[in-house]
Amino acid sequence: MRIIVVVGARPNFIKIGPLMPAFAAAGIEAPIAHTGQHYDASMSDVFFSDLDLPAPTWFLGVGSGTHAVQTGRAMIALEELLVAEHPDALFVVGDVNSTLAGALAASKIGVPVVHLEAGLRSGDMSMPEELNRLVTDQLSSLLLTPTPTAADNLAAEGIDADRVDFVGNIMAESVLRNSVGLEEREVAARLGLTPGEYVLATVHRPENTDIHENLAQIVSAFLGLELPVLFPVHPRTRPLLASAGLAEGDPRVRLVDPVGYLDMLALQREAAVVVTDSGGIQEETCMLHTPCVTVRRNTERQITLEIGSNRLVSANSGEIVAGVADALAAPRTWPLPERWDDAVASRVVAALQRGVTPLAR
Amino acid sequence: MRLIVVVGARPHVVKISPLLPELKRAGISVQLAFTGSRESVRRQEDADEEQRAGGIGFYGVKLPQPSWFLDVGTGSYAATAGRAMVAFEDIFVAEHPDAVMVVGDANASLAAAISAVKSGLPVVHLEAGLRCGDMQTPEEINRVLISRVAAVHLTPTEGALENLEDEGIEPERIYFVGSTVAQAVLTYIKELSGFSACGELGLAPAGYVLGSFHRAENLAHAPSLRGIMGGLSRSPLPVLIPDSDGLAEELAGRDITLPATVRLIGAVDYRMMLALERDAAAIITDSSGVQVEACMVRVPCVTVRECSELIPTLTCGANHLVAPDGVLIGAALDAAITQTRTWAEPKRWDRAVSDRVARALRRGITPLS
Repeated sequence: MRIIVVVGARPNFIKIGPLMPAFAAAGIEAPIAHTGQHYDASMSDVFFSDLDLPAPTWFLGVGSGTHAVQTGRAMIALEELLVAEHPDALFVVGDVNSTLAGALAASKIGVPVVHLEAGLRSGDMSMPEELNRLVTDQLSSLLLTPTPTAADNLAAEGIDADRVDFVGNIMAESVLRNSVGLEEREVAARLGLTPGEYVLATVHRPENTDIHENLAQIVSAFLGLELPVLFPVHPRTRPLLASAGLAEGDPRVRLVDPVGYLDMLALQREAAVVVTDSGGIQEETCMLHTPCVTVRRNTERQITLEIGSNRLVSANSGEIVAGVADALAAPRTWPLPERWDDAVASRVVAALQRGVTPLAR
Repeated sequence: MRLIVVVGARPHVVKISPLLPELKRAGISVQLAFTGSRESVRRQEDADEEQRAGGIGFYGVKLPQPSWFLDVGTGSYAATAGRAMVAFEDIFVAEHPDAVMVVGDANASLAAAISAVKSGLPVVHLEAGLRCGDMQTPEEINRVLISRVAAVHLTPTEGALENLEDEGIEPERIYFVGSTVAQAVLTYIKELSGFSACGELGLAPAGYVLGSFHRAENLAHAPSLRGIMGGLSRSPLPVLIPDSDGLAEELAGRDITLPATVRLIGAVDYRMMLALERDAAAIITDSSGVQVEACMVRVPCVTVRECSELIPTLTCGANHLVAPDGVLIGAALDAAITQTRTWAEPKRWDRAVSDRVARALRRGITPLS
């Protein structure tokens, strides 16, 4: 069997990390096509090396741009690739524009689509990721889901249960495989922070960074916390912080450049609390037993709310501060969700080996 | 309310033409975004007069001047859809209308729907909910996906409404408005009462079968194309085929001979086609629009496909599905030519379709949460 694996952005790299060795061991040929949707040489390379990923066979150079520009360019490049290579299936992960582009291009030329992390729903169509998820799932022949609820979401959209396979959460397996030896990285210490005595923050969603009032509320919350905040910040967001009320060099909020995958895991594990708007970090904190506060109106990772590792707050200073206090007071022990374990990749392999057939006539 | 209506394929012109006056009366301002080039719009003989009136002739149907010609051009699926997504995004971000209306199942309709939702605009889908159940056809993929992202679904049949409910679409977002193709027939057929299109071609009314083929599964598939030609060679009446989609090239490329019974003519515009349909003894097609039109002009129809999305045309007795097989098609044509034409028109295929659309839109468009 020969499949092409599409990745486009950092969360995708993480998801294929545990898969590549499993594919190789099972004799599944799985060359990687990197669309280059998120490409900044340093970060992409750090992730590939942190995750020990094979180099992409194809680099499609899609680059940045609006949603339509990214999706359109990735579709065109992937269509050419699929026509030339005609693999047995196209393997897409997550919910980025490259995921959508791959699913559209493949389905129109009759290449079956396999979607890993299928069936997640926030119910919020103002999130571009939600549209990417809805459309990709309709187009997929094999839907590999991370939670039992995901299958219910798919059934409610008319997707046959026989296309769905509950494999578990690949992000969880990646955390389990990479969390050995994290302490030795001493990342927090290198940044002058004491393990267990800082709040780690990541804020990147446009509704939080680009709406001035929301960013100001978030900054105000950070300044009001008792613990120092470590904030790896995207270069795009950095210049917005001053007008949101964060004075340069304020010791209460330490701004650093984005960090690699392993360093980020280490920082999450050693944080007292993580404040985020990222989907992946809601799951990683769950696995690392660090309480999480998610600054969003909704989440597609509802299971982390249900088990108590995560709580939702809106972009409001008081709510965020209260959320952090609640997280600090809460027990750090929760049961891990079903199939968030180290056998997810082998379940994916087993699902592929049962065969991938084009969508039924 | 400001609405941008996407005209992404030739049949869309017919489907939206009955709507526009009604939407205007309802106080809904409409701008058209056409995916073709300015030059691709065939000007009518009375172009001067139309320009004075601010309109333009599309394939024989008069529409207001589009605000945008996207000139998406030709190429692979990804190339054309990708260009269309980018062009639509530019328009939607700049204009920020209250909603975007897309029609049917064209690639451009899906591209526009994706760009609209990504730009934060609700999508209204006209001719929603039709399904053939075959996800190998690009049209079915487009329909299913547009339904997933649309905020308002306007369906031509009751079955389409049920299909959407089965896929988990909230019932309050679905309106069974009827077929605008049917309303267009009722509107335009009156203007054609003195027009004998077949006479101009030397054919007598009820003295010919009208054929129309455009789907890739028939044209680009040699066994199917051979089966269809075998069937047409058995026709008891001459078969007239206006060729708008490259049938002649497909036949030549596959060394398939055109039967002596068949006469190919160039592409015809909507009015000519409608007049030819009205006067035919029977119609043989693979087009969805023609199945509806045949039903409305009361000419029996044979559809060369595995399935039809237009179930009411089958159940009322106007339309018959047949496989691309010479013997089966020959028999189906014999039966169609001699059958009665007394079927009852499908529910809500009437003159009030556009009124129902306007009323649905005036109830407000709630974006997907």
